[in-house]
Amino acid sequence: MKIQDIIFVVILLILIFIRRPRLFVVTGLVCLVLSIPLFYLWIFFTAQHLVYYAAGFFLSAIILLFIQKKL
Amino acid sequence: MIRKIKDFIVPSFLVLLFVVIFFKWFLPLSLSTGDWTYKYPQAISQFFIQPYAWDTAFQNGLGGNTIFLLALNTYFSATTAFLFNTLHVPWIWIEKIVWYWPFLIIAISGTFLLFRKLIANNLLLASIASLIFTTNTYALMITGGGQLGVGMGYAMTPVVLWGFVGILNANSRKEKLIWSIASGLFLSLQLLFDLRLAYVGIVLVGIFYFLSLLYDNFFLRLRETFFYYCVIPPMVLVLVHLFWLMPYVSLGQNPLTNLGEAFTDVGIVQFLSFASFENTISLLHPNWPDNIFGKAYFMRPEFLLIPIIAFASLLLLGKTQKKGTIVALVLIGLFGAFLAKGASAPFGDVYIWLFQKIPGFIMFRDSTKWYVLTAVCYSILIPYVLYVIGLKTKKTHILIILFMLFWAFTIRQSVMGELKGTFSPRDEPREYIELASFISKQPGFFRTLWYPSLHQFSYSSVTHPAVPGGDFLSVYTNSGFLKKMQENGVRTLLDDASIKYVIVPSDTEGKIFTEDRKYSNSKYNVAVEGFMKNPDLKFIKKYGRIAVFENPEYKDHFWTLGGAKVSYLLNSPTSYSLNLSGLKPGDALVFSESFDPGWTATVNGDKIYSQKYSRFNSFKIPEGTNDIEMYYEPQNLVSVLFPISITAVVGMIFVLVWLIRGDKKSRGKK
Repeated sequence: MKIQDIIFVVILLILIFIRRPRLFVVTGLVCLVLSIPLFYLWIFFTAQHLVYYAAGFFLSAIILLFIQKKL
Repeated sequence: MIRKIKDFIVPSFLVLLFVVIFFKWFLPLSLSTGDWTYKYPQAISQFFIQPYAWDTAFQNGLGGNTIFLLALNTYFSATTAFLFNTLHVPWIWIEKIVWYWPFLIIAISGTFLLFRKLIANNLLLASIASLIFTTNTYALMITGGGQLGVGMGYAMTPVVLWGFVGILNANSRKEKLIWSIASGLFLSLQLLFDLRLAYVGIVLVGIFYFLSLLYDNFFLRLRETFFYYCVIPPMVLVLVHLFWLMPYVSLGQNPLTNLGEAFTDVGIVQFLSFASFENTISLLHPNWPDNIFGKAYFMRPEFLLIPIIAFASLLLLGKTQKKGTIVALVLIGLFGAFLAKGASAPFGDVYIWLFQKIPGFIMFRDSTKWYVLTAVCYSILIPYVLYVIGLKTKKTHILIILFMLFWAFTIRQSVMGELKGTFSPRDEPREYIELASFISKQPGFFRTLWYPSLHQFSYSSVTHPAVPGGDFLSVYTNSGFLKKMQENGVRTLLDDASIKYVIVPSDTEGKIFTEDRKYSNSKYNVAVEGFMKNPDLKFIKKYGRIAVFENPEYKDHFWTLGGAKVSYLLNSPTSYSLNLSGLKPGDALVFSESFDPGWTATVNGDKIYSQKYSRFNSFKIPEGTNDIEMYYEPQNLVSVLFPISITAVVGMIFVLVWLIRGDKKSRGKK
């Protein structure tokens, strides 16, 4: 597990604790925004992982939205 | 005044973008490229209007059962035959009238209608939805590469979703029934164009339905809509496609397994997973813009703004009724991006598992077909974001212009006219026209073998099918192929396969003789010189840079092992009438089409079934036989069911019109 993955897991756990879908979405968007300069600078590994994390955050937001709707 | 200027500038810029990108599809030039081969008048004159279960050009030009492609082939053949033979429209216009222009019309109008149904009745933003769906890199690469069957299936996807959303939004039972039948017909049309895209379409409407129910009163809505959403459309689909679905099921064959491991092996899925997740989530085709197979590029970071805008829709849900729709579209878009990357990271094994375990997934060795889900969803989500921000800021026009400028920048190669393929139309090469004339003027049946592969202008017809050399012998190197051609078994195979000419094509596109994906003249020269030295081949002539060699020992379409004289008449691709003379005891008749147990020879009312001889069909014919009727049996069911399918289509359109008129009248009374 690389340092990026550890940071992702920590942020994910914090967001799960807070349980606010909007925060997941904002974090996902920030990940995508951060990946742009990294791709531009050909720092592919971190950039690619940021895109994966973004997808993970969006997915979590959607799951949370459905759960909250049901609750 | 300023308002009027804004109302004029924005639509004008939008129209201008469409015109700049697609105007070459309206020029009197051929759009043949890659998978989109040129059809010569001599070949079109042999096209049929009725569906036939056997295609002499299939399976590397040796003929094969094409029941699973029957709907598409019939549409292709019937429309071309009608326009050419009856109205005398040349091929360069037929391809546009039947394929390219309908692609534009369906893709643009389908997304336009879908946006208006799902989000808002805003014409400008609905047009932006059409722009995104029609001009994204995936759409431009498939149509640019001449994959028009896939392209039409792609174009139909928003129409299919529009129909199914109509069922969910309908207020009365009658309205639900109208949308239900219409959805079945839309899905049928999509299935006609591409089986895989119809599969994707079904997945799309399936997930959308499930999520809509989940976001609503699940069981109540399920009870209200299940019959109209899940029963009627599949019934319509089965009825319309009965003419090939039933013969296909009754045959119990998987056509993909007949095509070999290249279509079913897990290794090929991994090999074809060119797209990375950052590509798919950004709606960026991995081969953009050159469209060279296997040549993937580094990620272009500007494309990441596309998912940023699309997923920002989750921040703009508010308390609108669109909340469920937007969440569903985001999830489907994400799901599409995950599948479209195939076996690439992250979680590439999931795709392999789906490929091996989920029925129908075997069709998706090329995972990029799943881009469609992302394309449809982003086409709605992005204009939705512009719509909501525009409502809040009252700056919709400026937002639209900014977005269009950004969009034009991402697809700048298309705007600047740098795309190849169908976006670089051309005149028919003279050398190929002359060769087509030389081949088509010769009577009787024979094949031409093209080494190493066919060119989009290769002449191929029912009586003179073209065979791709590399695929025919499964050898793809110059030295290997030239050596193999001199082996005894291969020489006999060429004769038995009725291959009269071996042709080295002129590589006008620089895609056939390549080294490191660049044209190699030395490869071409080695091939020509190699065939010159082959003692079994006789050099005939060069048409420009096309070198033609004759195989004098080639055999006819029908021949006997004992050397009896055979004359025959082609009634249709599934029926021949033969006359034999000089038949010796124990002699066997060979029919040089790919072996298929469905071929039967009827002699004096008795049926003789085909037995395998090399790659072909053979029949043990009783002594003293003169007349034989050769028939492909699966055609029986096709011929019986085709009128039923046609009646079903006409009947359902009639019912639909009658219901819509009734619905309008009852609304008028109210």
